[in-house]
Amino acid sequence: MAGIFLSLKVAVLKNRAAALRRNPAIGQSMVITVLVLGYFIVRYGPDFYATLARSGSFPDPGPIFAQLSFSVVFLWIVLTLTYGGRHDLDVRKLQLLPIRPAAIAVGLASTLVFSPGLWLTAGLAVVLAASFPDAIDHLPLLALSGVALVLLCAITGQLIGAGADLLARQRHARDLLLLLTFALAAVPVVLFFVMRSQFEGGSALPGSGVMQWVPLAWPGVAMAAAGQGLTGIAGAALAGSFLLVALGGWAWTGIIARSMLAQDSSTTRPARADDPYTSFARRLPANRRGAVAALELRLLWREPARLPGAIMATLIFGGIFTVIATALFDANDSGLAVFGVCAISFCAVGRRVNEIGLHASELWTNVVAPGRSADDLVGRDVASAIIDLPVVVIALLAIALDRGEWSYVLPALVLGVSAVLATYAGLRVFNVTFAKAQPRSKDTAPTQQRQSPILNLLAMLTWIIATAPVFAAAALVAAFGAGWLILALPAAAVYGIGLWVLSLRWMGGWLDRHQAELLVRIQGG
Amino acid sequence: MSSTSAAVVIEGLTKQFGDKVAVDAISMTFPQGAFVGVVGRNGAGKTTTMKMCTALLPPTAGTVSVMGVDVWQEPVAAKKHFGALPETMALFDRLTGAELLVYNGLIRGMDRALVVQRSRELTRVLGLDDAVDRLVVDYSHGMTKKIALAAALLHGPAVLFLDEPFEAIDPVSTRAIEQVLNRHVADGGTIVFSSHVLDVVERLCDHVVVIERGQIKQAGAIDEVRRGGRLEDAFLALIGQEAADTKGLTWLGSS
Repeated sequence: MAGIFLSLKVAVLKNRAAALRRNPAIGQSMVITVLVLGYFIVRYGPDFYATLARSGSFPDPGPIFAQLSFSVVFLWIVLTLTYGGRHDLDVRKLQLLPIRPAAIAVGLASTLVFSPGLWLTAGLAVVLAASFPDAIDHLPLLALSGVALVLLCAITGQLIGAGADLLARQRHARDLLLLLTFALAAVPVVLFFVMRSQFEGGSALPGSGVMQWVPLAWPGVAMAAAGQGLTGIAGAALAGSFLLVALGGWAWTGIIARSMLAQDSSTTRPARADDPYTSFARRLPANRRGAVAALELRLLWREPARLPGAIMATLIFGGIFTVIATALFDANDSGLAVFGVCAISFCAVGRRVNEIGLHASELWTNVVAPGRSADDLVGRDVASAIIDLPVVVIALLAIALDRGEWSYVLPALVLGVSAVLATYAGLRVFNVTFAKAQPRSKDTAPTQQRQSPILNLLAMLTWIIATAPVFAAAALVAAFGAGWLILALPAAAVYGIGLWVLSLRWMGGWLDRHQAELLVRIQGG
Repeated sequence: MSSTSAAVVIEGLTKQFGDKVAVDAISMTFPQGAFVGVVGRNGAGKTTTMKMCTALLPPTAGTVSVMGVDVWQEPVAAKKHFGALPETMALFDRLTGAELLVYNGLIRGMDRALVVQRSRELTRVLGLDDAVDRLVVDYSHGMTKKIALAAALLHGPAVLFLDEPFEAIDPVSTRAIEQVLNRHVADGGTIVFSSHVLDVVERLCDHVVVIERGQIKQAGAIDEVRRGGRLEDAFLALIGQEAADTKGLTWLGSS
């Protein structure tokens, strides 16, 4: 069975490679990924290698190796959750074939030879094993420890991927999983800095030895003990590691068996008379603008995995900009902090890029209904403002409370709202001009459909250009003093409102004449 | 509908989703060589029954056996005896049509040469000759259905379970599929298929099962069910469906 699965994987990879040549979006992603990764490898690779290569020379390598092992296995968990499970070889595609789950597990495991992550992990294991001064004397146990690390990573990745795919069939479980993934992603980052400080200090942190009791760290414990010639400890840790691998394999097979069954549709919702969203939506304007706004907010909730993405983007970008704005006070100038408040308008970019292309069916509804296109565009902005304006206000209050300064709050609010309006204006032109067919995520998809990186880059450029005058107004005050507020504030407000109205008229007028044309474009027809 | 040489035996098959009973203790037996149409309105329980018969959805109670093999006790052995075209098709869509059939056969343990030969014959008959080298992901819905049907037929199963096989299929392809299915039955195979299109059921099937709200309203030879009239009339009479009340829709066409 392994041979058939390997051959199947090769066929799929060949077809994907062929499709790559025909799909510029995937090609762009690959080029950007290679460029970014290439830069990091060239810039930090040699130092990183040199650091790892002296791991074995620590006075007490046990805690360090335990942390390394835990970090690597944990990285497999986070990356698997982030990038989703198996799509090409989804076990559901084998549902009707007479094949046992164990045989499927063996077949899928064999395809891991094509996994770059596995080879990277194997390379890391070799570097770590070779880092001991007398590694050659303990080669068999070191090699076994390396194998244990690689196997544990592989089985953990499979287990997490299959489990996440199974959970993702339930809407709320999937969304919670996505939020959990963001939270878990912080763990390897924290561990990286902890490890770096230990390597720079030349010794493990006090108390870090406790990590040796964590099962995911056992291959590292085995390797450290093997490298020091502590055969008993190495043997025990290896036994534990291989037991974990066996347990992981058993659990994975169980999940495969469960995954091969059909599920109830996760889109089925019980009718609720007291739906809180309905009562909220009734408070929106009772016209087409309000209807579009209500629909936009509903789709934000319903589109698979979109809401957790929006929540995390808002928390991350909103949080980062708020922290930057607070820190800018250290420059002893509240004018600079306003930059941070204006920058919070960036949160809208990630959420709204290609919003027309994403909801082609909604546009179709609008096309066949009579009315002004401008009302649809206003409705989208109303929905967005319901999210963005509270974020700006919360950020402002957070900064003011932290610094104990309130005098700048009103000017910063004016500038912040102007930046949001300018962002909406820019995004409107961008979303109509660059609207692109985007297949909707399947309801059972663990993650949202991703945008093309080029599209994201263009959206960011649009935001920079649209909001630049507002930033310039803030800079004027920061550079020449609060006296310039009298000029900067009205200028920013007039610019924000003016640009918003201008783009509304421009795009609204264009859509009145070309909406059907746009619909054909985003439906890929 | 019983026979000593039964192809499919369903006993007390039940499926409950929470409080809702989707399939309510149905029992039936399909003889070998039967062409059975399962009909019922939307939500009657046809697809749920099909899924339970094909080891896709575990029943709450009851058993299904295909060619004497219990589907839920020995799913791997049972799957060797049947082919299925489910309502939603999960296929290796990053393979070409030809590759899909080859890997389907290989995973079933068939000889590669035999798989290739049968694949060619099936794709020719189903009108997919020109599409076999294209990725399945690029197929239309009808073409996807046909390649999935080819995959279900590839190992020459004794029993075929087909859920709405003619949905979104053009008339030419419908005719081709009908011929293939008739040939399967003529060679001793058994077909159980669900459909909303009663004309097709009437034309093809020798047996019919009418399901309503998870229960069997009537099952038997098609002539017994329609009693000399049209199947559609007999069906509507069986499920007690009256003409829709459109009195409230006076506003239609008013703007």
